[in-house]
Amino acid sequence: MSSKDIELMAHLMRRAGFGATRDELEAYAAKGYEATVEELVDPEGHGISHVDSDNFYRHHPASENAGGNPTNGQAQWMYRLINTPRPLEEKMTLFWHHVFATGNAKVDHCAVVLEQISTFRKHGLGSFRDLLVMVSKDPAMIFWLDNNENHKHAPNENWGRELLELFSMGQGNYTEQDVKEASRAFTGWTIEPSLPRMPFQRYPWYFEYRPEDHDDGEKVFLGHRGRFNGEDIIDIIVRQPATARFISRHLYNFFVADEVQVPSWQDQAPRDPVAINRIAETLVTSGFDMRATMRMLLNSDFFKDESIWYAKVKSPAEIVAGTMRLVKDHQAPSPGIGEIGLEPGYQGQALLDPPSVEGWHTGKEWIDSGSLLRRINFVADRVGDTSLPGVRSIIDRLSNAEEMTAAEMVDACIDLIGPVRVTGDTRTEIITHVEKGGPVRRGAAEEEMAVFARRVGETLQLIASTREYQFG
Amino acid sequence: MQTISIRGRVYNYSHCVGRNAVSGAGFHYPNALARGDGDIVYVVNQPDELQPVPHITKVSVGGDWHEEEHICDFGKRGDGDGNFVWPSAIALDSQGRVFVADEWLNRVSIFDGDGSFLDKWGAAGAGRGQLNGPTGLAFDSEDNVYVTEINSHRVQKFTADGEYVTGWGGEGTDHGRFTQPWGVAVDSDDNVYVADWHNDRVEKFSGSGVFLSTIGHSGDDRGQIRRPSDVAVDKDGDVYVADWWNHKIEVYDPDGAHVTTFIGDAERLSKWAETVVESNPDAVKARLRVKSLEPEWRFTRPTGVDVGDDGRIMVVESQRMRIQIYQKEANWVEPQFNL
Repeated sequence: MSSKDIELMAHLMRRAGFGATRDELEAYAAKGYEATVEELVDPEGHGISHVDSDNFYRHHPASENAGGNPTNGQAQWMYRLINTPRPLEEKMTLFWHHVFATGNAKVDHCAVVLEQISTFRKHGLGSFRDLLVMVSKDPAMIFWLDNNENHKHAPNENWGRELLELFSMGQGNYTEQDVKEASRAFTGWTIEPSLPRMPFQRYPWYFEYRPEDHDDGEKVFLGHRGRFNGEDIIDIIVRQPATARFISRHLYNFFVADEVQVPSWQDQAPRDPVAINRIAETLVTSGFDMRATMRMLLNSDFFKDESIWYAKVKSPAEIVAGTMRLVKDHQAPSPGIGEIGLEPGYQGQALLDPPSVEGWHTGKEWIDSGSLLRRINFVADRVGDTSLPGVRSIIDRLSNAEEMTAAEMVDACIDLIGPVRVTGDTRTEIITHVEKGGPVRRGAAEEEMAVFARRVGETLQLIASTREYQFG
Repeated sequence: MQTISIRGRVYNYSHCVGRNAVSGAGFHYPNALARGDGDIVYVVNQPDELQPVPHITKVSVGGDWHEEEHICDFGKRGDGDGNFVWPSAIALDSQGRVFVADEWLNRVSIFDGDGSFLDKWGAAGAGRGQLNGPTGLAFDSEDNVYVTEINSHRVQKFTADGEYVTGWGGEGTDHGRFTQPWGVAVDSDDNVYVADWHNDRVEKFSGSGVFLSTIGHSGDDRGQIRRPSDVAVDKDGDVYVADWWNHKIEVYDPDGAHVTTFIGDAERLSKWAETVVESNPDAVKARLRVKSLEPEWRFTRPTGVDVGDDGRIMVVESQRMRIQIYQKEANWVEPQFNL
């Protein structure tokens, strides 16, 4: 297989997952690109196992019924991000929580937010229409957008508004009257009262439909007239061309290349209108089947095009999970996963806790001086730890190679940590630094090997500190 | 149902003890318990990633509702003597010394009955006599202690001083092999019962490791088990299995035939729990607006089960931070049916 095959596979795995080790990339490349995409979009059909959540909960029981403080809940999701053998399934989970942003800061019940995350995991590659219905009945979402306060005689328009503005069509494609009518249709969609959290810890929340609190009167919504209930509204929404375009733009921004932020979409044309049209067309012709849509997207020429490789700033979740997968840390339940789960938050993306219903702003907005330093230090600390299995694996690969110059070692490290594209002056500076340490020797003696391992670790740290490493 | 009469046995629900608390009067994700003299019970509390507070709670559970008393806590996070990272199992020897296994530190720590550190033993590793994720402890009549290990999928027998005696197991599904075993128990004939967690069964052995029988099989119905976390045997030879996945206790006779199922009956609040509720008027109101309090009564993730010669069956639940207590009655007289 060529280095181009590996580089393309690395691109696929960064976007459709959280990166991959060299061993994994070689195994995927041997299977072939389309076969790998097929495995990614249909892990169940290919018999790919799940994360062993039983074993995680046995050791981290607080993560199974995580409370108000999100630490234990974030630990649970981070463990899955690090260990899932179904990377696209987990990436779609992150995608949908980015779209249907629901914050634990208000819900104050991590287990309920995690139940929503579990819905995204189970159904994120299924029907978008069905997912919208599930989200409409999701207790965390109902509480987050106050639909439990949306009553027959006292409507609350928060859910109805965001359903149209942020979850399906986007601004400019509906009227204020449509918001009011949609909200009326969702009256009576609420949450069953649950036992309080004390004295024996929290209890699950369940959706409850109260027909006596539902406004069953006639509504006029997007030109349609009828005594609509919530599911009727969703059926009308998914028939709108604006919905296909809106979801296409989300998919493009998340999986292909950074776009402007959502509020600008009504004013600014897409970066690649042809790609958006193709995604929208697939959504419509497949009946909003996300598996078919992702299959088309990942196999498309616009996705494989080199101009969009490394064109996305990695999100904090991608930085953290990708690094942990690369160095192979926390592959079994162990103390300290809570701190790793908190790390994306330190970098500006608190898992389970988006800043608002609009979700996180992406692209270059991930980066400020504080978050950049935090990102670099986090990665550098891990890739420089030569005791970690993934780092050892890189060292072992280099140890098996022929004698090498400083430039060859740097190039090999750039290749094995990604590959990433570190070229020009940046590459030259790293080489110069390595040369200052003297000739690269890999003697058989234990002491010489330890020095070699340390120098590899330092080189990996330098690469992780480059501007280029922040792109995926 | 507070009284279960079945196949010549009668079980009465006694009371519950506990509430959610990171220390003091209550428990924190408890995952094992051991009986001391009389009403004394020692409970292992797990840390979590937000509040890393592993410790042992010593309580008197009393004989009836609202008699519980907190006696002391001991142990804290760390790797020094008497400290824990992941305490996983607890058992008392014939002298009343308290043995606590730590799954992460791969050692067994020994305390006196008041929680003063006495000694420790255990070296990390998968070799014979080493410890590789100890998760269960149980003493036989001669003060030998059996230790189950999740990472080596085996059971080892040591003297109380930590000298290796024998061991068996290894990963697998054949009889005599285990997959991530958890709790262990010894009956009055010194037979050994292992909760073979990931194989959804309990396996019974002689004290030297000869396979004798399998109790329970995989499933979610009454009489079936999924992910058993612990096992206990009463003086009549009846076997109690904590079904971690299905939130119940399954009872089997000495031949392995199913007897009955406990699902949790804590219809009243413990004294400590009641204190919490009554101090919060909103909590009192919130309890009135729910359709049913039944979810509160039921077991949620039973992690430890213990039965003494007095017939008291104690179940600790990691997600409800309490002990539920049943009594196996010796001389039960049925009340008049048409009363």
